[in-house]
Amino acid sequence: MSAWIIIVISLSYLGVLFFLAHFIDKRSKAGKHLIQYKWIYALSIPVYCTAWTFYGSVGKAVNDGWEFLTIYIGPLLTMPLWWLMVRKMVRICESQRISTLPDLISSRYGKSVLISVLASVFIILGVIPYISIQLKSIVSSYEILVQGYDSQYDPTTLFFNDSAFYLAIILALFIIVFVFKSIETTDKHYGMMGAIAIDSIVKLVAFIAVGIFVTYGLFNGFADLFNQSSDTLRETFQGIPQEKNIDWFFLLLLSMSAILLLPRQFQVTVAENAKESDIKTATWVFPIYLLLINIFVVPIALAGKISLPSTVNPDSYVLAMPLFNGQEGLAALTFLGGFSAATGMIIVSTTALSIVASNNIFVPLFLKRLENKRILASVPLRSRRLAVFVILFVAYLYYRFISDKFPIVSIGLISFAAMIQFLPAVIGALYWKDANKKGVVAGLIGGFIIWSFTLVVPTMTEIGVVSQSLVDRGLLGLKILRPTSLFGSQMSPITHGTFWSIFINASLFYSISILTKQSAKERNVAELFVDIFKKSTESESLVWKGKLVQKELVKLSEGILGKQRTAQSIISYEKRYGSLDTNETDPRFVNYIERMLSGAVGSASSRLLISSIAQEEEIEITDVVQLLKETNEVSTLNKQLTDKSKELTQRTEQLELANDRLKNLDQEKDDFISTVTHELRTPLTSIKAFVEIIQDNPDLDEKDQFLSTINDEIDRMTRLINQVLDFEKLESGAITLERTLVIPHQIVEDSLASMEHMLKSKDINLIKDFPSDLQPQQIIGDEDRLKQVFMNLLSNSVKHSKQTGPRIEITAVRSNQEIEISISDNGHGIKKENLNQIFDKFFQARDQTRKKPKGTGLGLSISKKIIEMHNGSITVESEWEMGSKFTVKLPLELK
Amino acid sequence: MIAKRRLSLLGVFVLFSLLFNAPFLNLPQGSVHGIPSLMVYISTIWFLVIIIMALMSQSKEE
Repeated sequence: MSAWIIIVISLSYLGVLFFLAHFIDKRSKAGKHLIQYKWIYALSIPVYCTAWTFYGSVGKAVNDGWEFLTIYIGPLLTMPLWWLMVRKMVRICESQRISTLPDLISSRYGKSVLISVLASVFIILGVIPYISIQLKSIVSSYEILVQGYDSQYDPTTLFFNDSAFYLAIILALFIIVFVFKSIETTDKHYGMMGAIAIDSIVKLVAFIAVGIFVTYGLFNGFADLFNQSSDTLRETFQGIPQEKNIDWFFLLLLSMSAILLLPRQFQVTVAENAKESDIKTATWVFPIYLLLINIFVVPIALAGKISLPSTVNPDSYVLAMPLFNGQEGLAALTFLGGFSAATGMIIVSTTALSIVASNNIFVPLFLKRLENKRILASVPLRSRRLAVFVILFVAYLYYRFISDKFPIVSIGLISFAAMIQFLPAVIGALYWKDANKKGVVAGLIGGFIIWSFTLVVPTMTEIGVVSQSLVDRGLLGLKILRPTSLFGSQMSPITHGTFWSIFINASLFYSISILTKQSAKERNVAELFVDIFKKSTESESLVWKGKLVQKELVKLSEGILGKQRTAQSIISYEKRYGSLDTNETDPRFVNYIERMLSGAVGSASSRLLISSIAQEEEIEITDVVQLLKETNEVSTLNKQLTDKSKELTQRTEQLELANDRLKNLDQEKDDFISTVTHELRTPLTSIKAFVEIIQDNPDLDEKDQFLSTINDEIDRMTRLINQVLDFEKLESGAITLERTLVIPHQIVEDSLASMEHMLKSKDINLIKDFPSDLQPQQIIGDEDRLKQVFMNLLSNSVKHSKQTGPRIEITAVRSNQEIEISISDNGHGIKKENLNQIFDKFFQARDQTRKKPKGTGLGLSISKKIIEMHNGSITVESEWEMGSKFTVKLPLELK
Repeated sequence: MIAKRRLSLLGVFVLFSLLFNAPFLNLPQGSVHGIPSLMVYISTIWFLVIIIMALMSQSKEE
């Protein structure tokens, strides 16, 4: 393929990326996000998948089988911990305005300049080789496209003929234009995040395209590839050899720490997090991404081994496969995928390292040398921009002279082993209040010495920088101090280096933290960090003692953050804590400004700046204890207030319920009055009419019949009034039962006898099934009241019976210690939606859906009340137009 | 509830850490329809992690 085509493709891609980054930035500033930020956030985390993933995974799979997967299974395993650990880091960094890992560590351990510089130097040393392999991958893939799949990189190329050199410059410009626009490092870089998310999609699409082409275009799927592979190769993928289990474990450990601590991961996961809940989306989107980008690694490795000449480097299989098969378009897409994987990593890593170099090394050291401790905002910003060029230039040199001698994966793993050295300090910062600065310094120094000795020195011997005799004979000629088998231990180089470095690091960190004392200042921050979710995230959680002129503090802030930003900060502060008294030193305001400055120049530098204008007093542990007491009191008060608020909400809900009940009762009362007056008015009207007729015609023939009707109507009114009074007494508890031993069967029979006339008049077929053994059973109850219940139920059945073939069935059964008496009919039945309300008082009055039968709507309510007073229950089953069944359960009196 | 959620997350982490390490990882032997059992095993556990994380991320707690 022509070199110009590749250069045009690459530049066009970078152009599109620049444009999109600019567009996303602009839209975000206007508060208009193209898509929800949580998706951009989740898709930026795959910046983890670099050229190492894109090209190196296949190479690693060819040589070591499934071991390549450890680099992705490790991050996958950390997903459940993200909500616990990453969220904690996000909360701390947000509250303390921290944007880099060294800043997080230095903030926690006394804002120490020593820790800040130490951690930063180690991080830069660990990550620059990693950036260099990205440059290497881009150049290698370019060479393959131009010269063919079996081309080799020519190290004698002059730098001005080297595409990597120009690429480094372009990427440096991108970072300066889109990332380092303002001094504030805690601002979210939406443009950069958008560009990284696009990179993630491009590399995934490209890799899957090659995977599908190889697996299904050239072969007939996964099984076919395994079938056509040589026995040796197939054996490689049959399982994990027992002796590799320990390597597998350590590689998982390395990648687990890498996903949390690599500067680019810290940048996108913690520093660029806009909302804690976005972490939740990332915890399932990222594993899907990892699965998809790994699914075709083995097929490509197998296909490469089967089809490509043995001279082709396995790291190039992804690109060589389409080229070998004449697919230039696919090869160009693959190149673009690898290019996006590498550029994404370079952009974010260089951004993070530049902030680290500026805020954690240059600015604090520069401030220490300055007598008046005054710097302009332009100093950190310029130093950051300069750092971008320096870092990329060093990475370029490393790539030119060292990277090319080693496979991509081995350099990447050495970087991972450097990152794990920060794990004890970070875990201590988040979860161990007694961890202290001395422990961290000792651990980091110890860990990095062992890391250099066991992992860096052996690679240096390979390029002739260090004498081979050091590896063969050991340090000072002592065999127990050989870099590849420390104390005689036999492990693979990466496991060996990781084990010893992390062991020494963690042991020193733990033992020295235990043996030495923590300063009060450190303890203060430790309390805040470890209990960040319990405490207020604001400045009042930290102690500050001393005197300063508040105007000086404001001036200092204006010098670094600018007048506008400082004014905005003061407005926010006053909104929260009330107006600021410029004559009095307010420790809370001092802490607040210190945090604001941390966001711009790092915590160590902001500490130096504050101390330069203040007469600070050493804080005592008693001050910390006092503050803890106060914050605990505030916390307890907050808890009490929350509890009170909850209680109040509950009370309000109860009151609302009571109010609803009262409204219902009021409605029922209205219904009651309406029903009763209606029921009273009807007979009264007919009585009045009959009386008038009789008065006008005293000799009327139907006089006796009219008088009888008047009598019936008066009886009906009396019944109604009695029922209303009865219900009222039951409701108010004025009625007491006259309890005696009674026989339910007898009560049912008596009720039937009373209803005989009514039953006969309707020609009802009465079926009784009262077993003989139940007939003599007794219960304790009020005979008259129980009779009232059964008569009411029978009367209802009669009233609602069908015109043709009416039937009422009475059955009795024994159930445990109860007698169940059911009265069922084949009448109209009750609609399903009314079943729950049938026992409500006045229900029938509210039921406007059907014609009102005679009665007050109190009968069933009274019956229910009476049965409940007998410790029994009454239930109904019914089907519309099929009939109803009322069942009364009463406890038996056992002899 | 919060403590319960933390315990569940830690439990999931421990469970999958065990499943992705020896001796469990040494258990799959042979092949399924021409594909190594280990590949099937790893893919299955990976899917499980995705499903569990997706379900847990729906929680409104904390």
